[in-house]
Parts: sequence; C-alpha cells; structure tokens
Amino acid sequence: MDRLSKIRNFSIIAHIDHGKSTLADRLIEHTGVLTSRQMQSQVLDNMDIERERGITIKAQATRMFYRAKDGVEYQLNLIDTPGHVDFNYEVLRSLLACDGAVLVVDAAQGIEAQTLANVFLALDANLEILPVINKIDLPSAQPEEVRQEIEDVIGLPSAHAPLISAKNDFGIDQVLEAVIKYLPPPKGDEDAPLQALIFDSKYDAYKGVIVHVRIVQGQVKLGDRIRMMHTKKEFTIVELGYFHPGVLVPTDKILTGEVGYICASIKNVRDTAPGDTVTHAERPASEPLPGYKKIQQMVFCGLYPIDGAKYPDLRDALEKLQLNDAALSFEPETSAALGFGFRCGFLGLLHYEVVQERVEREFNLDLISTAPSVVYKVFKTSGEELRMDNPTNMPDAADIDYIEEPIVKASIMIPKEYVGNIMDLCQDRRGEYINMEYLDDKRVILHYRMPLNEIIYDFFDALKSRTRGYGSLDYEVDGYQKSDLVKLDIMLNSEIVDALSFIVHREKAYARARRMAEKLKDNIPRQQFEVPVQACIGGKVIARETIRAYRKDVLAKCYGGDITRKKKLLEKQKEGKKRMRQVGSVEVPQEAFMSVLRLDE
Amino acid sequence: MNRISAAYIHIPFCVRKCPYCDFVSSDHDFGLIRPYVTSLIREIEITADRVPGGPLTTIYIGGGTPSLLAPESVDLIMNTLRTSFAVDETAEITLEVNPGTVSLASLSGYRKAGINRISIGVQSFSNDILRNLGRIHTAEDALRSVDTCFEAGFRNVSCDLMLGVPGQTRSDAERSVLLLTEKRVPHISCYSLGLEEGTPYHARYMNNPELLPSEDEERKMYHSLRSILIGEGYIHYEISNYSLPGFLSRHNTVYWKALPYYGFGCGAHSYTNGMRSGNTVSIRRYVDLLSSESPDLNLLTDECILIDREEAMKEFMLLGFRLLDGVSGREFSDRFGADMALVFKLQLDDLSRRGLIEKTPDRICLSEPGLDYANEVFRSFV
Repeated sequence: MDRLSKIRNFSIIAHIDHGKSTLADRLIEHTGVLTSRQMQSQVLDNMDIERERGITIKAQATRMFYRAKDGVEYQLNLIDTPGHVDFNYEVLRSLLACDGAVLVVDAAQGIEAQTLANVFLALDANLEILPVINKIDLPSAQPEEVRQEIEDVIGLPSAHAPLISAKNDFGIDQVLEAVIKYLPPPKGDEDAPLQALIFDSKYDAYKGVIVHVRIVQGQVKLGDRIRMMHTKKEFTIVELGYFHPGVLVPTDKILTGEVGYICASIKNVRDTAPGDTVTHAERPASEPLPGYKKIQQMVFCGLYPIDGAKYPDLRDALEKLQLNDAALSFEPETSAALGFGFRCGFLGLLHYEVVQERVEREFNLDLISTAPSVVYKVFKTSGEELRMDNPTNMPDAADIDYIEEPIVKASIMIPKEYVGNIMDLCQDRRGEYINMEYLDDKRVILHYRMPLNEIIYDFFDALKSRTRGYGSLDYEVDGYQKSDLVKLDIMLNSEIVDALSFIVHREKAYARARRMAEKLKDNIPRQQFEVPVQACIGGKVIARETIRAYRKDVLAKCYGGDITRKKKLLEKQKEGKKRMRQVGSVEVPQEAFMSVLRLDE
Repeated sequence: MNRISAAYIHIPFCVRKCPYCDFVSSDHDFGLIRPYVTSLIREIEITADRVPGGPLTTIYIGGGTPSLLAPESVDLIMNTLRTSFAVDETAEITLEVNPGTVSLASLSGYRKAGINRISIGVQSFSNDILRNLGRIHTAEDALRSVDTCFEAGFRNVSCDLMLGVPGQTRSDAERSVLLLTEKRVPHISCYSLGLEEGTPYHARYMNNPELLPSEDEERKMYHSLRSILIGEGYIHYEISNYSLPGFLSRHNTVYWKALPYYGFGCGAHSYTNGMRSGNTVSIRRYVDLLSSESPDLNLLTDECILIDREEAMKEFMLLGFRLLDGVSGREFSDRFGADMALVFKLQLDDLSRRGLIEKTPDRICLSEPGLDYANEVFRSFV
C-alpha cells in the first residue's frame, strides 16, 4: 500500500447546529489524540464567540491517526470549515484543501438551506461526499426520512450513511471506517514542482504568520525558499509541521497529499492570501492552483469608539483582528457626529457582528456603529462612475444620473405553511420572485432576486421571527441593477447626524423615515432641552418626532453624611452615560445607533 | 486633615415608618431605646480615645425621630460629648423632632440639656398630602409645634418641606412655605421627593410616574418656592436650603465643605482620618456589640472607604457645588496645594460651556439652570 492511499483529507460540512463541532470532537477523541478528559468541549471552536453562537468562524485543522478494521493505520487530516454564508469563500478554500467531505445532517431537522449551499460548494470543489445522519437519539429523529431526503433533494447515494449520535458518542467508529472506505485518498506527483494551497493563516506573536497549507504537488522542507504565486512575496521557511488539536507539532518536511503549516517570519497576513499557491522560488510551478479569488467585502460601516480618546485603541484592536482575518478591511474616516473612526468592510452582516463583538469583548472597547451599507455604483451626469460605500459620500442629487445597487439571489428554505408570510416579507423588501421549489411535502425553497441592502439590516431576524425560527437563508451576489435610491438624513436638534444617514429606495423612504424617527425618540433619553428628531431627503423634512426635555436632575437629600451612597448613585448614572455619545449638543446612547438597524418589529 | 469639630448622632426609632423613607429606623423595637442610648454613650467614649478631636462646634441629633428620646437621655448624650470632646460654647446643637411627638415640657427639657436648634419634619401643611406621606401628624399639629418651639425659647428653628409628592399642586407648596415665612421660621429646607429603592413609595411610583407631579411641575414648584423665599428675605445657600441671615445650618455646611465629622449610632456615617465609614444598620447588632466586655469598634463598621487625595479633591468639588456659593479656588489650594482650575480644567470648561456653572473671581458655582441639573455637575467629579 503506497503512502498516499493511507491519507484522507476531509472536512465536515453542515448547517449550523447540526452537530459538526461535536462530531469533530468525537473523531479526535476516538483517534486517541486527546482523551476526553483533556478535551475542552469542542476543541476546534477556539473563540468564545464561536462557542457561544455555535458557529465556526476560522478554519481549523488537525491530524489524527486511526487504525482501521483492515489493520492499516491511516493519517486523517480534518479541516474544519466555517459554517455561515458570510464565510462562503473561507468554506470554499478549506474545501479545496480536501479530497472529501463528511456531510452532517440532523436527523430531526433534515436538510436546510445552508446544507445545500455547502453541498454545492463541496461539489464545486470536486469533493466526494459522505452523508452522516446525526442526532438519531432525539425523540423527533426520523433517520430514514432524512436518508430518503438526502437522495431525493441532493441526489447523493445515502444507503451507506452512518446513523450516529455524536453527542452520545454513538456510531463514531462507523464514521471513521466510512471515511476510509468512501472518501478518496489524495493524488499528486511528489517529484513535481511544489504547489501548496494556502487555506488559512493565523498570526502568532512569536512565529509571525502561521500559514496553513495542503501540499498538492511536490514537497516542502525546512529552510526552503518559497514564493507566494499571487502576492509574489518570497520567504525562507524557519519552521513547518502538522496540526495536533491545540498545538503545532514541528517536523522537517511536509509531503504531497499532506496538510500542515509553515512559518517563514512573515509579518503580514496579507502576504499569505488564502487561496494563494505556495511554490519554490528556485523551481516554481508553472501555474498556481485554481480557486484564488480576491476577497470582496459586501457590507461596510463606520466603527467609532464611544470614548473619542480610545481611537488609537480601536486602531490597535482592528489591526490585531486583521492579523487573523484577511476578510476584514478598514481605513480611517471622520464623521462630523462621531469624530475619528474607521470605515470597515465585511463579508456580510454576521461577519460584521462578529468583528464588532470581538472588538468590544476582547479589547474592552465600547463602539458605535453607523448603519451598514452596501457598495453602490453612482453614475454622475458628468459620465464619472463612483463606487460608494458610505452614504455621506453621496453626490448632490443634481449631479447624479442614476444609481445601481447590488442584487443577490436569495434561497429561502421554509416550512410551507409560512410561504405567505415570507412572500409578504420578500415583497416588502423589494424582492423579485423567481420561483418556488418543493423539497418534499413539508418544505419549500423560495427563490428571489433581492437588493442586498434590504437583507443587510434585519432580514434574517425578520425571517426567523416569522417562521418561528425554521426559516433559513442563503444568498449569492447576482450583479448590479439600476434603482431609484435616495439618501435619507437624520437631523437631531436641526443638525444632520452623518452617522445615521442611509440609502433607501424612494418608495420606502417615507415609512422608513417615520420608523427611524420613532425609534430614535424612544432610544434617546430626554435631554436638558427639547430635541426635534427630523428625517429628511435633500433637505426636505418627511418625518418628525420630538424628544421632550427633562426638567430635573437633582438628588434632593443627602442625609446624615452618607456621602458614599450618593457618590455610588452618581457613579452608576455616569456609567450609563459612558455608553452615550455627544452628537452636537445631544447625548445619544449606543442603543439609539443600533436601534435604527432593527426597524422590523 | 482638619480638626474634627462636628458630630452626627442617629436615633433609629419612629412611631411609624414613612413609606418614602429609607433611613435606618424601627417602629417596633422600642424596648431597645434604653440600651441603645447606653450603647451610644459607649461608642462616643471609645471613639474619643481612638480618634481624638473636638471641641465640637456642631452636633446634630437626627433620625428616625430623636424626639422619642426623653430629655434625660438627650442630657446624658450631651454630657458624654462634653466630657469626651468638649463642646464649644457657641456650638450649634440640633435635635430633629416630628410634630405630634413634642410638648412644651419636652422641648424645654431638650433646651435645658443644651439643645439650641430644633429641626421639625413638617413636610406639608395639607392633611391629604400628610396622610399619603404616612405622617402621624396633621397640619394643625405642625403649626402648633412651630409655635411651641418658639414658646420653649428656641430661636433657631428649621422646618422641612417636601416637593413633588403625590397629589401636591404648586399652590399647596406655596401655601405651606408662606405659613412658615409668616412665622419668620429662620431656616427652611425644601427637599424634592426621591424614590429610594426598597421603600413602599419606590414600589408604588417608580413605574407609575404619572401618579406624581410631573418633572416640569416639580421644577415649577421648586422655582416658585425659591422666589417666594428670596422675596421674603431668605438666603438660598444650598440647593434645598434657605435661611434668614445668620441662621445658615452649620452642620450641613460641614458635609458640603468635605470637612471631617464623627458619626455615632446605628447606620451613622463618619468621615475621620481620611476614611468614610458607615456603622451597621442593625440596631440589635449595634447594641449587642457595644454591650460586650470590650467592644471592638471595627466590628461595628459595615463599610469603610479610604478617601485619597485625588478622591478628596473630587469630593471637594461635588459636595461644594451643592452650596450656592460654590467652591473657592483659594480654599482648594489651601487644602490641597493645587490649582483647582488646572486639576479640573476639562470638567470646568465643559460645564461652563454648557452653561451649568458660572465663575466669579474666586469662586465657581452652579448657574441658575445648573440648579436643575446639579447631578450633571456632580457627575463630572465622580
């Protein structure tokens, strides 16, 4: 038996919550890499946020050894993938590093929109797919129906799909055996010039960037001079090795078909673009591996520290996050209302939320975010074309010929009783109905073309709440489309708050304006004086609310010298104020900025 | 730190607890009054050894309802203070009383014991409001007790009124204050109702603010009383306090000037040796601890916070701004050897830009609008 046929490189794909990380934990346990006592629950999900949200944001990899029933010891490289549409590209390049994928389907929930999306990605990457039906211990589990569904809906043979319960550690060996039996070993020419696919990279304060690679052709050794084929940067390898859960194990070379890491004193994660190909400087491959795509940010917003003095800290935080997150972009911007901050670009709304949460938690900074925006194309009467990701940069109406906005193809999977609800929702969000597909007798997929700017606010929340949590969404970009868009400005105390401006379709402007004004009125506390809240288009007010003045802010009695207590009370009040931002003469709490992102009730 | 010349003594007993009040007080453990006075005396004596100070220039016996004490008990306390610290002969010595708990005889007794100032918890001269406030007295009782105080020979009398209480209108409030100015009561406090956590009022009104006079209305009452009192020759010297010339409360001024003071009794607070500390709020524990063979005063303390120089500077500001005279740059540099205008430049610039404070050559004080947003000013210094 040759070396390659004893290797399996695979990944686990699943819809959120279907048990991907639990299965990964079990596989690691069963191959004896770690005992269950050593395991922190879900080893592969390293970040707090990942554990809390049950999603994987960063790809992780680990090498395991398994002695199969045939008596041979196999090397299994598990490459974990992120599990959300926002991270599609990350998913894809992780998949490209594999030869096969284990598809986990929940025995009670069946197939969901993201299951399909991930399966299509895996098929695009030419992977062999092994279905596994998980959670068969649940009372509502219907493993045979789900097995049928996999055949009917996805068209995958599933007679051999193991029925397991990862949580209860049942059926795990069956999965390992099936991986060896049904997933193919890697191929490749050990003597060909080096081609290694970068599927992830991480920054380490001591080692610099740790590049995660899959060797497709050739081999790589300590001390080799390497070149990144797309970024053209060259480095010398100072360390390489493979992944053990939670630790890196150095070795002296990585061979064709193997998965491992290389360190070459690389300072900038941008020099190791995921999807790029590593080759030797001396004897380069003739061409890079397919699949490289420049990352495209879809959602932009301004992030500002509530405490203006923390601007340098915010820069520091974003720089540190960016070390590990090549998809995050940021550049300094200035807002009249919020002062100094950064215009940040994200893959999607979840990515945006994750970054925001990490900045707040890991760096202990309170943030204000402007309304997220997509990238519009503005065509000026002068013939000039402008890419605009910040409503503040919208030219004068007189100078605009027309505007185009990005459109996505959305696939929304829902139980059929919610079709009416969701069609209303899509209609309301300017969706253009394409068709409806019956998955089985209970579920349908609605296909819509929709403006991305209708999705980035609160579409997902609205979808979930209108389907009792059963709806799921997947989308892909589908070009630009001309649209009648206007810029809606919000004025507080007669001053435009640039951070609250956003672009909206003209027909929806009035309703949006009214909701915004109401929300702001509810979320901005009464001030020392009366504050008018006005929403306007091109200087014309289309909605107005008034925040009444409060009158009294006096602690009356301070009795018997109990000064400590009064001070505590004042401190508590002050703490509340810390999360407010002085905008002109008005104090605006962080929640007010956030509230306008969630207008759907 | 300055010499300690003030003492507060807490008497935690009331005939009935008022539903808005959260000061330490019991309306049933009357059997504890005697042992409590004995305990007070021990606490004063032990403290005098541990933290020497005096002579005292102001003593305030507050509560609770100190007028539940017999004049003999007050006499005992006063004697203890005299022997432990010495009491300045011009000292201001206040006893709080509630109408309906005093008589000419008791007031004369207090006077003989050395009390020279009486503070009466009038609150209102409307019987409906008094009932809602859970007070045990009527408007007539209140008026009578003012007269009785004068009759007993007290010249320095203070009355408390409340603002913004349920069912109160501006004319109610104005009528109450006019009844006092008519009698030339030399010191008047007008406190706005605060909803203190844990009180029945908090439970009743916190989420039903419509049952209270609105903030607007409350502020109108406040400003209306203020102009009446100023028109009648009273000095508005602290956010909630007014006096005829020469009758400023010396005791409260100690707090606002961030000067040290002793606090004796259950739940009493003190500021000595740069520490702010508060005694236990349990009467029983207080009495038990002080009845032991050799009481350990440390065990009496519920909380204790060291006020360092920086904190002391902030307190100087946030307390000082309660006085209408505000804070003095000279007093600040005398005490801290630092320039107030530099130490608090950011805060002072911001507050004066927002029109909440104003500057005179040596002093900085709340502006007229600042009176309504005093907390905003205080918060700058926490």
